[in-house]
Amino acid sequence: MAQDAYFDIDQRVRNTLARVFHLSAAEIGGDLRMGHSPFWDSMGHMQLLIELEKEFSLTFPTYEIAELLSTEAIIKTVEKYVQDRLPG
Amino acid sequence: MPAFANLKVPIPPELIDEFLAKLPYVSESLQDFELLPEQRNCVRFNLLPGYELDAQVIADRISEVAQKMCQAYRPSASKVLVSSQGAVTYRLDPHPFLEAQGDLFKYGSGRYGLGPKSLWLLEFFDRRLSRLARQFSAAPHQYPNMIGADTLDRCKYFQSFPHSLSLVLHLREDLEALKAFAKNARWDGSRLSCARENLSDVQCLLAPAVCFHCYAWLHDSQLDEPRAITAVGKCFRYESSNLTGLERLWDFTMREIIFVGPKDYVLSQRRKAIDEAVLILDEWGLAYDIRSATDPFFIEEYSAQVAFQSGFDLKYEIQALLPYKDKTLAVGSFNHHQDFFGRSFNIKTASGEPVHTGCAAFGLERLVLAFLAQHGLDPHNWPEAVAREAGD
Repeated sequence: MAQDAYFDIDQRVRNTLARVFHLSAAEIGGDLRMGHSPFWDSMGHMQLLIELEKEFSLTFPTYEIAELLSTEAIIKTVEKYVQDRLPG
Repeated sequence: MPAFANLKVPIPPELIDEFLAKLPYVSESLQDFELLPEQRNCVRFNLLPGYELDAQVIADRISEVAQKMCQAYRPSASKVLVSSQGAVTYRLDPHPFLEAQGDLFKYGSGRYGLGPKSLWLLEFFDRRLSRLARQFSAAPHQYPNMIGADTLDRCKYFQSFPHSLSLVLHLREDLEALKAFAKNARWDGSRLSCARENLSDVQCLLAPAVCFHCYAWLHDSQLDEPRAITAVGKCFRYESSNLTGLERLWDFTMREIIFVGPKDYVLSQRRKAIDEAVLILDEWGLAYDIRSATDPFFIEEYSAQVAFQSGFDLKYEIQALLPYKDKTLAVGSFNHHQDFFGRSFNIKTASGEPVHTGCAAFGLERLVLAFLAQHGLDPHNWPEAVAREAGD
């Protein structure tokens, strides 16, 4: 169950990246980083975070904005929030 | 009779000044306004006579400003790097005294001339900041007051700060247009009255900052090593009814020290500039903080830009005390633009990455005002380091 939830987070993060930065499925497979896509600039970064916040119903604090610079970092952070929300 | 704009969200206390500073741009018919203090979710406003029927439209626009500034707004505590009490010996507003003794003259809203004493201080401060620039081996440059629209477009300035632009026009190259202008143009008491069809398109604007010229100069280049550059220049930022004496000028003077190179270089130079600036501000006996800050972005991108700037620690400001207002005024800033200008102007490091850029910027008229507001106009009461030079 928990493993499914984690898989789901990975895919949902990648889908959000694809939607915000107009990327294909192949392009979101690896560890994309800020600056690698022309759309992932400062405004793109904030747009991505806003979409991720909507997708996972959470709010990233300001200090975390500068840490969410890659797919892997985003997935780990979102997993942390979801883990904190799980009962028990 | 006043009208009211009910806001869907209360304005957070730390956003009130910035919100109110945006409202003059809502409509030319807006005469005055205030945010009702208790709930912070209602603006009372008056319109100029003859515009009363626009009240609902204006209320909707005010509401839109509030909503766009507050949506996705993330509160974050201001980081204070340095705080100094200085040696404040004065509490009066220096403006009327400067005007009375011929050291300040108002030409119009946001446009002031300086007389001998205030100009001496401005040049004294600039000489000291030029010495600071030499500590960074910054190459001196001079730039034009005008800047190409193409350059500002590359800086995405039109999207971020449309409200503060100052466009430059000339008359069209057309004999009939020139003759018609010469015959009919006149000052009508509030504006230059002339036919708009005789005016040119816009190719240039008055420069809103000094450092943009530097990036345009370096466009499409690869730097063998990091560079520091310094320049003093006129800057122009229209601020509508927010323009207030030397506190907020339309036309002001800025000394910048600009850093171009790899990220580590730019960040280390910015840190060093902060440390050195502290020594200078203490020499001048000023009371100030150096704290994290954000730029006054236009409403469309406000929340996102502010959050990004805060999250990445991109801006610190020197906030000097104005004792006569019991408020502070930004007299300088230390900025890191990441690789934004490196990408926008295709400037690369020796290893082929887009350069990072940063700058230390000092508003000279504001420094003069803060100094006089804290120490008064009599050089005998000035801190030793300044009084000594003034006596020479």
